[in-house]
Order: sequence, then structure tokens, then C-alpha cells
Amino acid sequence: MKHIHILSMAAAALVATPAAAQLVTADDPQTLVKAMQSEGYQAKLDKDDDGDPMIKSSASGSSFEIYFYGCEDHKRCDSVMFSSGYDVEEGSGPSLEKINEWNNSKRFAMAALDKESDPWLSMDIYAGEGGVSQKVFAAQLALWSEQLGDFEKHIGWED
Amino acid sequence: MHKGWKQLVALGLTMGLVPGCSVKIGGDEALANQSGSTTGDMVRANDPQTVVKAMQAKGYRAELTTAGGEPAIKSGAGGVQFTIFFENCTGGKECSTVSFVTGFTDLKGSLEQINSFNQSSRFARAYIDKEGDPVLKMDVDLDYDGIPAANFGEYLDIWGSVAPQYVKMLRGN
Repeated sequence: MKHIHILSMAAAALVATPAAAQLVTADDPQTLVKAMQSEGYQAKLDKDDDGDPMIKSSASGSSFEIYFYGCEDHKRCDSVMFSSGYDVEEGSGPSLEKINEWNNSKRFAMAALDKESDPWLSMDIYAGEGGVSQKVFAAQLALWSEQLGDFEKHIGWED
Repeated sequence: MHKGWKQLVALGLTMGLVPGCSVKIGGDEALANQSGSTTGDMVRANDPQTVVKAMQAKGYRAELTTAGGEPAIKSGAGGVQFTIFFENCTGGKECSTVSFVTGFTDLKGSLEQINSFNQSSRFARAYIDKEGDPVLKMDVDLDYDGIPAANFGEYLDIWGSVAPQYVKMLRGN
């Protein structure tokens, strides 16, 4: 707990300069954490298997992760990917036609089947040093949250 | 399971989907931007000229036109023609997002190929449209004050890398 507190203070000091133009940058995972929490989402900062930052959250009753990319030494990342995967029983998952139908009719979030035919939904945002404004990030977060629910209906996911 | 997925994507990145060298240059501009006014050098969907300028500054062709009454910009990257469509507009103006789109009537791809492309690609997604033609699309939110020109430049670079890879895959058929 204490450790986290110190980290967030350091992050606050780093981004304290322009109060009006608070930006969300992949360079500073705490800016995402804060933006998500202020929009009413939980955001638990963690590390992925490669040691890069990762945020765990949930929306529409399902958990999702935000992975950081383009990092140097697990820091100074430049983009993020929202990701949600569904472990379906063999043969009971959505067809490639169903996945294609999603990609054809929806925007921002992409659907794909992995090698085990498990469906995934993902959305990428470039948020390098300039970052994106909190408003744009909030809009994308809201969109993702909505799409997550839509996708689960689309693939007939029930948990 | 997540790990496997991420590794696939990470592979896509090391293949050069996100060029890293231009980040620094963009970063300086963006930082300068942060301390200045919020509208300077920002790329906004509600002002197509800001998109045109950002494209031209990076040496891309940018023909501003309209499609279905809404702004559209015709361009090309890596030998692939594409169009940036403005979306979420009100009365053909005040748009908030854009889509980079390229589609092919003379190339074909199977759903298996398209899915495998999507698995290893970020930002852009591939699909087969209702006419059976392969399409590639990338959506960018440029709402409110938009995003720094340097970041829009990164999206252009990403698109400029992914679109030719897509064509290469389709041509392999």
C-alpha cells in the first residue's frame, strides 16, 4: 500500500504542470489509472508476464486488461491495448463468419479468434509522449465498455 | 492465454508495426504543445484542414473531398491508396472521429487469412465486406481538442506500415 502511495505521489508530481490540460499518456500508467477511476471504473496497476505495466479493470460485468506497448525497460511505453479474451469450450465458440461480421459492422474494437478458437476483443490507442486528453480517453473507455457488452451478446457469451 | 495473445502482438510490433524512431521527434513537439495553447498543432476531426496539414507535413498526399456529404481525404501510403473518412458528424460538419480505409475489388482473402492477420496486427482491423471484398480499417478518435499532430503522425506511420503488409498478404493468394 505504502509503495503504491509513493508511486502515485511521484506520478502526480510529474504531471502537475498544466492543470487544465491533463493528459493521459502510456508513458505514465498512473494517468490511465486516475482517468479510469474518475470515470467510475476500477483500475489496478499490475505487471504483465513480460514485466510491462498492465491495468486490470472491468466493465459490463466482465474483466478486461489494458496492456502497454512500445516500452523501453518496461517504462516509457507509447501505446496501450484494451483486451478481453473468452475461454470457450471447443466447438462452441463463434465462427469466423461471426467474427468477421463484428469487424465489418463495428468501429474501434477488433474481434479475432486465437489458435484455440477462443474469441478476443481488443482496442488500440496510441498515447505516446503527447498523450490524449482525458476527455478523449474517457470517450474511448465508454465506447470500449459498451462494445464489451455488445461483443458478449454477439458471440453468445454467458458466464 | 493472455500471454500467448500478447506474444503474437509483440511479434507484430517487432516486425515494425509501430516505428519507434519517430517517437522522440513527435515527443518534443507534443511537449511544447502541452505548455502552450491546447489548440496549437492539434489534429481535430471537426476541422479537416488540421488533418490535411498534419498529413502534408509528413509528405503524404491529402486531397480533401466529400463522401456522402461528409468530409473525406484521399491519400496513399507505401503504394496503397486509402481514404480517411470523417465520422460522427452533424450535418456534414462537426465530426468527432475518423476512419482510415482501404479496400480491394481485385484481391481476395479467406476468413482464416483475415483472422490470422488481425491476430498479429494492432490498430487496424481487416474484414471481408458484404460484396466479398477485403477491407482494412483503422479508427481514430479526434474529438474535442483532438490529439497532438505528432501523435496523429504516429497513426499515419502505423497505417503506412500495416496497409502494405495487408496488401502483401492478399497478393500472396
